[in-house]
Amino acid sequence: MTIVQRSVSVMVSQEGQQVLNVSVGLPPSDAYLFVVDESDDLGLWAKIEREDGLHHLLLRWEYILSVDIRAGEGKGLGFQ
Amino acid sequence: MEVTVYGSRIFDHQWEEARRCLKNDLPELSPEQRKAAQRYRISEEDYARQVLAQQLSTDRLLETTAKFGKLLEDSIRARGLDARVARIQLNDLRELYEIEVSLNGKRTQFTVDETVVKDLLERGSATAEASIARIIDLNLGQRVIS
Repeated sequence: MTIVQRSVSVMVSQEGQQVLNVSVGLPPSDAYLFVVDESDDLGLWAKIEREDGLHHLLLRWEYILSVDIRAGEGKGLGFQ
Repeated sequence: MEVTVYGSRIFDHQWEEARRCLKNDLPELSPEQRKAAQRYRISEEDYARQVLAQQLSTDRLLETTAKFGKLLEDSIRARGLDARVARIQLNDLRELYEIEVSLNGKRTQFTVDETVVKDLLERGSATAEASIARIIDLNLGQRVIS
């Protein structure tokens, strides 16, 4: 299963919440909604909008408690 | 041919399009989506931009799925088979096309890896084209493994 280019809900540890707060100014939260650019051995690369434009943020696995992907819904074009 | 996409993703181009969208043109959020925006502590506007990016990306996936379905059907017909693609679905999380072909009144199901289709449609790969042809032949009884 891939999470790249998906919108995911990420639960992070208290320490991770502090990191996100200090580094990119995100308010502490039970869960964060991120669009994943890439995932690698280090963690998740997520898109983050800031005052000066779009950033790519690395959230390290050590701060991540869970990643929740909505299974989604079927959307169709109907019969072609 | 029934064309569906199960799941969703957000492409960079559609993300940019949603970022540039005027506030008044953003989709109206449902009460559940408003609640989700609160939970994630993001503004309703930012949430609506993500919803729009997802909708635009799903439209693109549907278009590609329909295009591949048509190519597949043409390729099957070129073999002189009395068959049609009854259903094609992109399973987004598994990155697979799930295909149901009606052949001589019987239904046959098989899958094609999305990577192979990307190689064909985005890179014009002859190897991918040959792989798809082989998948058709193996699944529709035109070929046996030697």
